[in-house]
Amino acid sequence: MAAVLSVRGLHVAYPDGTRALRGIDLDLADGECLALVGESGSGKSTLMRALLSLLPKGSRVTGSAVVDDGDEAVQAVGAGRAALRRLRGGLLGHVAQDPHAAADPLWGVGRHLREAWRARGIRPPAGAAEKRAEAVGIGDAKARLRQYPHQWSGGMLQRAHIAGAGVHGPLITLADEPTSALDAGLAATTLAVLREDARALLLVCHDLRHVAAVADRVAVLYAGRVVEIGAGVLERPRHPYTRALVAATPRPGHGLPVELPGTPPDGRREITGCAFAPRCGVAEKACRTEDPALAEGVACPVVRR
Amino acid sequence: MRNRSLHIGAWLLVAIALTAVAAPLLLPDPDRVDYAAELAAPGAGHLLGTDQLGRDLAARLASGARTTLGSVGAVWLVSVAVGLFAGTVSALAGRIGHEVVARIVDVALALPQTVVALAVAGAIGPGMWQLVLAMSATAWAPTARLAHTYVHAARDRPDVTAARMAGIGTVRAMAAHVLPAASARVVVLATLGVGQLILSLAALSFLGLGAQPPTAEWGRMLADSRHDVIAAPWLIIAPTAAVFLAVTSVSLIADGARERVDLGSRTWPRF
Repeated sequence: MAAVLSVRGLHVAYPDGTRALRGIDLDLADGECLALVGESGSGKSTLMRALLSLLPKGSRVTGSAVVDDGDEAVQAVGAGRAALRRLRGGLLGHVAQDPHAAADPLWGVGRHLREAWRARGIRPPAGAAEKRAEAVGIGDAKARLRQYPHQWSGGMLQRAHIAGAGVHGPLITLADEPTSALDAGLAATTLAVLREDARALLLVCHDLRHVAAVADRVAVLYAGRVVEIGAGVLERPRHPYTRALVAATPRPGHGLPVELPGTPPDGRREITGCAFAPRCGVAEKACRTEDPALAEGVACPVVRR
Repeated sequence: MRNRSLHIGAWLLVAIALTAVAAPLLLPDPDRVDYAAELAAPGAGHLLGTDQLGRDLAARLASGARTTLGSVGAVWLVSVAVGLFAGTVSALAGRIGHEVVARIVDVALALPQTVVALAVAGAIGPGMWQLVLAMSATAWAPTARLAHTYVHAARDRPDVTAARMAGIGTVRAMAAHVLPAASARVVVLATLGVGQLILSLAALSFLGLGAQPPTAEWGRMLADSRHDVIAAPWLIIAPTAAVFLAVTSVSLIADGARERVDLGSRTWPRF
């Protein structure tokens, strides 16, 4: 199937010189759910922000990220006003992290939902907002949409945001930890609703169990690079970092979680060889000098052998 | 009762405003001179007595309320409108825009009110409108700085980002999600300063920089009657009481409104 998003050689450096992304290549197929996992600082959120042009002023972004719906291809890197208008709320839907923070406390939930139409200069058709709300499982939508965000639970409010993000049928929905502000029970159902509602979904999520439940493919990021990508990455991890990540997650029948010692490399320093080598259990001499390329879905020549 | 100060202050202001509006219908002409009734004591003919020219003090007080409160209202309106606009522009216009506005604000804040009033009176003559102009020239600056702080802090608020991600332009997203709450807070903080404005206006008028005879104005009335304090103490007491009541009412309103708008500051000490 054709890729709706293709990222090639994407580099991002923040204004302070921190290199958050060091050459990302990945594709997202139509209708697919790709989850990005990795430690804090691995570049997951930076990738999302780069796609939405949300990086702070003065960040250096190079490479390309093309969103293609078959009729037109829009370059998301360095997007101008016209491209942003096509992307935000059109080709790309965005679901924020904290549903309550992302809602204006002075606005009713219905008004938030209708903002998706107003953003395009359209009068929301009568009953359309209610229909969208019901599509994501909000019951009694007419009455509920008249309420204010503080009267909603986080899970339901996140559904309302999902409904808002999907108003114009976006090609790709981007969700940066959409459930981290919700409790565990709600998180699973909310993610299921999000997956159901979105066409292609690019998801950042810390909880590997949730990722395993909804994602078709998983991309593991470390120090601004994809170190492993594919289906079943979490079930059969190959890269030493992925293994460590999985081992650090509590799973029934696998004993106590094992913490990964050490810290990710300083983004301001130049990295030679494999970025994970200093923390790696299987690192060889060559790992410290040779840059590992991503091949067969894993960026580690040691485990490929 | 919830928010008592807002209620009391609002009713007090309504009462003052009603008196000011209804006075021309009930009381004599405030500017009619009657040498036969010079410095008459309060009584049946003149409710609050008369001044050194035999003008009815109650009528002059009510007429002065229109002058004083009208001018203060004008200064308040300018400081809120110009302050909000300048603060928002400086928060959204990028670094150069911010620097330009911030330096103008610095200058306005550094200028003493009295000096500006003297300069304006010297340049275009003393008078009420000139005084309003002079006071407005500095009154907008603190408001602008506050508006800048509110709007700037809200730039990267998640709800603003969410609106932008829905496809709304930054300026429109700010106008829809930030300005309503920011203006409410700016209005309240500007209102907190109105008591001071009334006092400054009366003081500058007392110095002769504001209302010119025969216009009735509270500060001017105090200045005109200072030679007759012993013979006619009501000439001092009545305008002073009027200033006191007006300042009290707006201070109560501002305090009550602050409590309603600034939800985060419920724990502020009460004055």
